[in-house]
Order: sequence, then C-alpha cells, then structure tokens
Amino acid sequence: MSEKEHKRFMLAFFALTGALLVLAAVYVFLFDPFFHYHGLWFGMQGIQNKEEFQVNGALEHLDYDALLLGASVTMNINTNELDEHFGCHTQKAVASGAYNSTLCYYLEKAFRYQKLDHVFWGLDPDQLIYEIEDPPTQDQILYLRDKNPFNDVNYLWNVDVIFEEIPYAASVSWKKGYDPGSAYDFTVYMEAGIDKALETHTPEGEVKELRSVEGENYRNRRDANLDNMERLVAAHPETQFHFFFTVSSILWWDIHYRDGNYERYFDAQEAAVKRLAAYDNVEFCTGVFNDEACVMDLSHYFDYCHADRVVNQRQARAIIDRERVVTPENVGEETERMRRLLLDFEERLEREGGDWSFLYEYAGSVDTDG
Amino acid sequence: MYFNSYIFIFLFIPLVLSVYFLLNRHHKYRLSQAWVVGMSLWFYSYSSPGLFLLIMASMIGNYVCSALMERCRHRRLLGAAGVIYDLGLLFYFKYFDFFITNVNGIFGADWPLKHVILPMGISFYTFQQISYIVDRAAGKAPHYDVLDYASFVTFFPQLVAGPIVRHDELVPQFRDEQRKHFSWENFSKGFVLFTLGLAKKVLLADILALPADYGFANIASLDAPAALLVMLSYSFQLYLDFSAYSDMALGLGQMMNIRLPVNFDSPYRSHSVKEFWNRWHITLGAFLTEYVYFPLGGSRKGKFRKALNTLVVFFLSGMWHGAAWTYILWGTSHGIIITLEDLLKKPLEKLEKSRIGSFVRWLGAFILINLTMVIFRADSLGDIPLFFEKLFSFRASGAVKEIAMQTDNSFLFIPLQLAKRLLGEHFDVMYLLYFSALIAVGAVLCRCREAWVYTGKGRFSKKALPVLALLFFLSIVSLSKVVVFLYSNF
Repeated sequence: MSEKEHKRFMLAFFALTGALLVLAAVYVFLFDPFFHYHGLWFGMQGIQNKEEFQVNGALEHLDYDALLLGASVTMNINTNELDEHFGCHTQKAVASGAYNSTLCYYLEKAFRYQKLDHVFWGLDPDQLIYEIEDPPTQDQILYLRDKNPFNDVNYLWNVDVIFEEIPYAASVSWKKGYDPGSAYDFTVYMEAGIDKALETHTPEGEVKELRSVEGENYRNRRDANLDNMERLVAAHPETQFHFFFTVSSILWWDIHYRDGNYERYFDAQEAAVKRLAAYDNVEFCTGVFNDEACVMDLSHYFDYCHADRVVNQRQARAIIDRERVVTPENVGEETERMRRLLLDFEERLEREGGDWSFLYEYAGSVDTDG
Repeated sequence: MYFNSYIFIFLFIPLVLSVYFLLNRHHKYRLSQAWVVGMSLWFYSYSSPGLFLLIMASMIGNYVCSALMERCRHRRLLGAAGVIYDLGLLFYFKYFDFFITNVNGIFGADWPLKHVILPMGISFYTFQQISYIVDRAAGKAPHYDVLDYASFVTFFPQLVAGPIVRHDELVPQFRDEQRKHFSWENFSKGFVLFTLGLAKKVLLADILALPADYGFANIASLDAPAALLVMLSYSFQLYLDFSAYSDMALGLGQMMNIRLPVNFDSPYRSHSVKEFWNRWHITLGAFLTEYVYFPLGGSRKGKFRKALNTLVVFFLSGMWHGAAWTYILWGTSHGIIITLEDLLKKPLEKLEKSRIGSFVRWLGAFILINLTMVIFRADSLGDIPLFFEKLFSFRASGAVKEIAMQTDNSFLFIPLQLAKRLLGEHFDVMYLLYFSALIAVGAVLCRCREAWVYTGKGRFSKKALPVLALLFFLSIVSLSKVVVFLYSNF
C-alpha cells in the first residue's frame, strides 16, 4: 500500500468509527436511562433499578411532589400506598447504607427542582451518627453527579448502558408492566426465610463494653446530622415531613448489642424527636421498628436486616395510619420498648447457650393480612 | 494512566502525536523529544504524583552513577553501586513486605509490615536501567545526555508493562532525524496494531478474567471439567492481556516511527517450555540471559552448572513477576522442566521428526505450560494442591454451568432475552455456548501468528475496514469497565 492509500484507509477508519461513536452517543442521549439529560421520552416509564446511577438524574428531571428518603431498609417500601393516601407522586431518593448527609444532599437537590408536599424519611438508627460527608459522594457516580461534559463519555459510550440498560428499560416500558412504586426494590426476585437470615448473621468475638452516649465525638456527629436535618425542615415549612424509624430484625440489633452501640442509637433517635418534632410541619412515627412480630419473625427477612414486602408494607401503613405517633414526651417509651425486646432476646439467647433455634418460634407472627 | 482509558485514547495520543510531529516539522527535534518525555512523565504519574518522584529518583540515581563513570576509574564499583541502588528501590517497593512476612514466619518475629503499594511498571524501568548501568560499567554503553536518557527510561509506550528495551535499541532511534516526520504508513500500521491489542484486551482478556477469577476464588466448588476450563481461561487471559499490551506498545511506538522490540511470538505454538520462553515475554528472557545466565557461566561450565544457572535464572524470573512464593515456585518449576528438556534433548528431538511426534511434543508443552499457570495464578501455595485435586478428580458435578455464568456481560443481554423466549428455563445454555466460543477464540488466537505479523505487512483490505472500526468501537464503549493490565502489576 502506498502512503496515499494508507492515508485514505486511516481517514475512512476514523470516519467510520467516528460515526459509530456519534450514533452511540445520540442513542444514549435520546433514551437516557439514568435521566442525566432529560425526563421521559418515547413512552419510557422511568425504570429505576440502580439507585447509585439514577437517583441524581431522577431528582433533577422526573416529575414528583413527594420524596421517600432512606437507606437500603427503606428502599424496598412500595410507594403506591403512600401516593394513594396522600394524593402525591413519590420519588425515591435512596442509597445503601446512606449517610444522613447524602440524604440531605438529595433532599436539597429535590427542593431545587420540585415543590415538595411530602417528605417520607426513613431514619435508620445508625444514620444519625455517621460522619458528615461534605460534599456527599457516597454511592454516587461522579460523571452522573457533576456537570462536567467531558466525563460524560463514561455514560454516552458505556457498554452496559448501550447493550443492557436501554434495551431493558425500553422492553419493560413498552410492555407497560412496570410498577413505579417498586423502584429500586432489590427483593423482587429474592426469597425471605429464617435460615437465610441466620446464614448472614455471623457474630464474632466477645460482647463489647456499652459505648457511652456522652462521648464527645458521638455527640458532635449526632448534632451535626441533626443540624443538617433541622436546617432543611425549618427552611421548608410548606412541606410536611413524615419521619419514621425503620425496622430491622433482631439480628441487626444483636450486632449492635455486641459492638456496644445500641444505646447510642436509642439516644440519637430520642434526640432527633426532641429536636425536630417541635416543628409544625414534622410528624414522627415509630412505625413497626419496635413491633415484636416485625422484629423477631425472621421468616420475613432476606438477611440480618432487610425485610420483605409484608413488613415493608406494614411500615408504609404505619405512616398512613399515623400508628404510634412519637412526641418528645413519649419517645422514651418507644425506645424502651425496643430496648426491652433486645435485652430479653439476649437473655434468652444466653439461656439457650447461644442456640438461635428458638427464633423459629416466632415464624408466622407477622400479620400478613396487613 | 492506562492505554485502555478514554483520556489516553482521546486526549493523550492526539496531543502527544500532534505536538510531536508539529515540532519536528519545524526541526525542533530536541524540543519534540522533551515534549514526549514530559508527556510520558504525566502519563506515568497521572494516578499518583508520588510516582513522579519515584521515577525521578530512580532516573537521577542511575544518571548520576553513569556520569560519575565518565570521570572515575572505578567503573565496576560504580556499576555495582548503581545496581544495588536499583535493586534497593525494587526491594523496598516490591519485596519488603514479602521479606518481613517470611522473617516473621520463620523466626516468630513481629516486625511490622510497611504495606507499600507496588508502583506500576517499577520492575520494567528498573531492569532497563540495570541493563544500562551494567553496560556502562563494562564500557559497552556511552553516557547519554539527560534528554536521551530520560527518553530511554520514560518513553510512554513501554514504560508501564514493557517490553524491556535496551538503551542501544532505543536511543539511536530518538536521534535519527529520518524518523522524525509523520508517515501515514507507520501511523496506520501502528493504529491498527493498537486497535487489535485494545480489542484483545477489553473484548477477550477482560471477559475471560471473569470465570478465571471466580474459579480461583472458589476452588472448593470446582469439578474436573470446571477446573480445566478455569485453567484455560486464565492461561488465555494472561496471554491475551499481556500480548495485547505489547501490541499496543508496539503500535504506539510505530505511530511515532519508533520500533520497539517484539515481546511475543505466538508462545502457545511452542513445542517445549524452552521454546515457550523464546516466544513469551521475550525481552525479559533476553535480559535474564544476558545479565544473569551468561555472567554465571551459561552452558560453558558443564551440565551441572548449566542446570544450576538455568534454575537461578528461572527462580529470578518467577521472583520478578511478584513477591509471593507462588511466582517463585512457578519460575522454578519452569527451570526444572527446561533442565529436564535439556537432559532428554536427543529423544525429544527424535520425537519431533514425525508429524505425530511433533504434535505430541506441542501438546505436552501446552499441558505443562497450562498446569504451571495454576501455580502462577493461585492466591496461595495452599490453593495449588487443592486446584490440582479438583482437576484430576475426574468427577463432573455440573460446576461448569456456574463457571460459564460468570462470563455474563452486557453483550449477552439481548441474546439472553431471546434465549429465554426460545428455550424457556433452559436459556442458560447460552452461557455455555458463549463460554465455549470464548475459549475457542482464545485457543485460535493462541495458535495464530501475532497481530504485529499481520500489521507489519501493511496491507489492509477494504473488507478489514468495517471489522477494525467495529472492534475499535466495541472496545471504546467497553472502556467504561476499566480493568488494569495484569503485567503492569508485576
């Protein structure tokens, strides 16, 4: 081949690959399964199944007037009942093991783009004592979070987006069988069960000394998180905040009994109620977080903390029915109820010589009729 | 920065090449060379500025040593000091924790580990500089000026994962003004070679890595067929990964009219382990032969010394690959096999004469190379007998399906949906077909001539154009799943 032929070959090569890359970018831009550029086009239904990739874009480009905030234990709550009762359209803003600062970041972002009538906020006991991340980057993909057009190549030329995410979103959307209330629900194809839950619970070592609720670092973190939340609550009196304590199985509590943290969680919950319930636009509810059946019946858990649809819907119903509304005056009773459950459990476990099988006695205790 | 990244392909290469040839066009040859050195240093220290300090310290130490040799009569002493300096750096960054772990294990000591992160490419540029210092001490190399020396050490195509280039292969090319001007022929040959390397890496090696990694992480769950396929997956992955990097390095050099030495020559076509080492990581073999084997006496001091020298070389080769007993055992096992091949030279040569005999020799070498790959890949010495136990159990319990399912990736999404419709619950047969195809393609590529043979001819047909464009496109969109080159960690 002559020099000229080599030149022609290369120019044709670049033209062809350039065309393919442009086509790929246009295809991703138009379908935009992570809502990075726009909302729903071409009859797409906004399939949401990858929170770390989609929440940022969804908050910016989808329509909603309510928000469900929380970590993985909140993620699987179906929002349909909430929407029906409160007459709203709820968007989930969730992250696995979410830091409070991540959720505050999501909430601020939502306020920038939408007028929110309701915020449903699942408060994990440990959420309030995490470090503050500033800026919060937890579980967020940088090229989807920032406004840098150059790193968008990671999205526009992304093999997973081109060959999997868009075909999946299109096929589900066009089949019209998608339930938007089940966004990010990772339990759809999973089976709950006592054995499964126990399999994931492998406590090690001795029970550690109970950690003081007076610790300076702990107090600083707790108060900083509450400051963040209070700032948002105070700045948006037009929005009704529904805080609820999320439910976890007794195995989760057992972990924190052993690591000596559980009293800090109760303390943080009480502090949150005392601080935030003073606002007119705030309502706290215990939900099923200290409901004996929901905590002890492991047949409704996939692992040591994530509950199935039945328990999650009980959580949603508790918000709707204003079941056990918590005030600064009675919050101590509610945490005491959970404390009793935990300490009784630990006593029984000791009596049984560390044999967990007595937990099978609780199977079927959750009222599955709602 | 890695070759398989957006920033390298869409920013670094265009920037380096355009400025380099623009400066050359205006006869600013020294400036263009300095530009490449600067960009190479950026390339190297992109992920961590600490890497810049390290490579500078390494270069300055060696350069000062070479400069002192100009003025001092004790060249050998300085040479030894230079080599100790290089090996000292390598020891600290690569072997320190390994050494401490073994001392603690043997003597029951409790010395703390440093947890030093292995700087990428350190084994490659250290060996390059050792070869220079040794040649300088022997009076076989001139003292280069700073720019030539920095170009020799940092030239980005070969900086992170080789080939290990000798100074007299590279520096004269940097000085050759004939090579300074843009050539469409070299550019197209280089770019096509780069594309083929990129495709080999991201479309094959990275996918074969999935079953290999899963298999080695779950040895207990393997049965004999699964262990066999895991072993082949890793063997092909390593070859495709490393030879891909070499193709890309050669291609990048060629785009700049610089010819880098070939590092691979279809190693799996070898009929013996000895031949394998003449075809696999050729530049490392050449280095160890010249700077270790020959100085030890090579084959000149009798059969016993030859065998001993071979074992020393392969012990070091294993150690070069990593600070773990698995690598050392792998290298030593190759040394033993090569020694045995030498002892059985005559009958083996006789066998080679018939076609069947030749095939048997190839098969034997292929099996030995693959079996020793298990030692190379194993996470610990304890995993090796466990893996072989599974491999030679001659039991099949259906574990292949689980291994095949690890190849799941986005390219399979649509075919899998179609298979679900057509085959119902048996759709997972798709994974087996896909995995089989991957192994088959890997096997064919291992038997084929290297990509540089194809591109070297420089005859690209119109039919090849869409195939190459598609490979490049699919490779680019696959970069969103960046997987580092295996050999950059050695």
